[in-house]
Amino acid sequence: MLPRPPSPQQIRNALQVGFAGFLAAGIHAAAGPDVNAIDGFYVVYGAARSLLPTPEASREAAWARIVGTVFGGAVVVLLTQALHNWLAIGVGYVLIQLLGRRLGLSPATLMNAVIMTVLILAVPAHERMGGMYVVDRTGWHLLGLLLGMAVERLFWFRSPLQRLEDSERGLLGRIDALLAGTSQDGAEELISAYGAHCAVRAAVLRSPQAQGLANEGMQQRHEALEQALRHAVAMVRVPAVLRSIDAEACREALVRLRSLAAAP
Amino acid sequence: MTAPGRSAVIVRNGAVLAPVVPACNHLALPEGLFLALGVLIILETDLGGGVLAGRERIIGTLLGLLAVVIAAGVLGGLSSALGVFVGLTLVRLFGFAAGLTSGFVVGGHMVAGSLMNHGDAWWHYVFWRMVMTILGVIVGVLVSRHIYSQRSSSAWQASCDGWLLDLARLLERLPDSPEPEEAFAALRERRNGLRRRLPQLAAERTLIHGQPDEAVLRAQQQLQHGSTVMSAARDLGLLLKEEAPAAWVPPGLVPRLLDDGRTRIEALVQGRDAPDAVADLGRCRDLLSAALPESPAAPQGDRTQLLIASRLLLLADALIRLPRSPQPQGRADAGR
Repeated sequence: MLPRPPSPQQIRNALQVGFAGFLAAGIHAAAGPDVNAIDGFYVVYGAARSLLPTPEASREAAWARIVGTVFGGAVVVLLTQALHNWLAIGVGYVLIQLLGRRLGLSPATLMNAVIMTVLILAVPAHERMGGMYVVDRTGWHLLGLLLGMAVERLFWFRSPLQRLEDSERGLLGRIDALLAGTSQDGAEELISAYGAHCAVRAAVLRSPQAQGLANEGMQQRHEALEQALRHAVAMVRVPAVLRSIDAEACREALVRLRSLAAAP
Repeated sequence: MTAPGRSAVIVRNGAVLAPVVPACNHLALPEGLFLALGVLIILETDLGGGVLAGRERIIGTLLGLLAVVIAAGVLGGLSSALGVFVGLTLVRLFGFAAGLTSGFVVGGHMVAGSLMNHGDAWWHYVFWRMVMTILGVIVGVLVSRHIYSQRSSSAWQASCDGWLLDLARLLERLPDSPEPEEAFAALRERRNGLRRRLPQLAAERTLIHGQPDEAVLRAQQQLQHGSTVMSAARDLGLLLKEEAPAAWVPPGLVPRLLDDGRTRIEALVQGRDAPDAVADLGRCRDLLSAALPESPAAPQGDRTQLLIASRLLLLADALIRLPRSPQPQGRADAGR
């Protein structure tokens, strides 16, 4: 696959991660010579793990990292009180999986938890530190993750509602291009784009901005968009002789949507 | 995966991991920890998912190495904070350019580990870590493929068949279904889930056959035509609530087509073709095409009727094109 130039949004994301890492390394340096070099790694890696494609994804990943690290660390440290040989890694893995599933932990949390089995039991120094290793790692990681999420909010932040509007604009552009006959999109591409739009909408509905979508106008706007998309997808699929019917219905839905969007 | 199946995979992974870590220590492999982590990442999911995760991990590691070489090697005079800024920024940019979805996190790990924890020994760290990661991914893929292998293709096909059967049941009760919108929304979610898992299927088949084979093509077609059946049926349900079919639509065609659709889908899932249903769907399509008004640019009042005809044609066409699911016997052997 050929490399593709990063989008402006991706360039901004890269700069944000770099800056979060810069702050993390600076804080570690400011903490003085008494702090271990490895703590610098934990805090910078925390920042590097943050700033995912959406703030919600960053938050969920951070939560999974912290809970998984603490849970997996606790199980393994307790296990090492009873078992010291090579079997401990296998037993630790199985215990974490079974207990974690029973507790309803997400796959991402479980993954972070089982990584602790290897990290603690494969490195003798970590095993000797026991619980302190878990606390140390978790604390510095948390700091890095928080720094990453703070930088995410400070620069070029788009609220869920703004992202929904951006997404709606993008989708409208694709439908307009299809109606104008200048689009290369097939049904699958349109459906996929609408799926991504619905994911953003779901993020808004889970956020404090959910009330922004609660009024009737916003609901009608969403319905009009869905209707326009349904006709756009059908336009690509139906026999040519019937295409104009869907095109007309699609245009009408777009007019309705734009009048709703323009309404105060 | 069933609960006993999941437990067996957990035991398999634990049994593999237990000797890998001491073996790395015993052989004094430099940065052997990353071999064990590579194995773990692959085994945490099925074969196709493992291949994708391994690809992300290896490319992310290589890009991390490149970023470290630039940040610590070429620009070696920078302070650690500036080096981290350069390294992390480059890793993300390289990762986006390479189309990674999560591998840039591994690249960030390389940068953080090299610059913050390995000082002047960064080259030893990044080089051996890369070697161990590649070895770990290879070992993980071999285990995932040959020991109690969990295949994306069989899991995907089972989910797809379940989705198609529920679609067939919905077709059966479409005209009178009380809450079709919710049922269609649930089906749409499942369709989206199948679509998201297609890359795993393709990666798995490519690993086994060297290129995406007919199983991937069939999966894409099932999704594409099944999706068309779902959308057309959904629109049809709404349109039929607005108006009954006009006199020019051949009488009894709607229930006939829906019944053929249900029969056809149920047969396809069982690995049969249902030739009678296919022939009847073809006849329905021809009858409807012949009955269409001369000029479809009809006045507003006729639009609903034309949309009904359009969705019926789409439905018939997609049902005819929908491919058969692989036979259970073939499915058990899939990918061997």
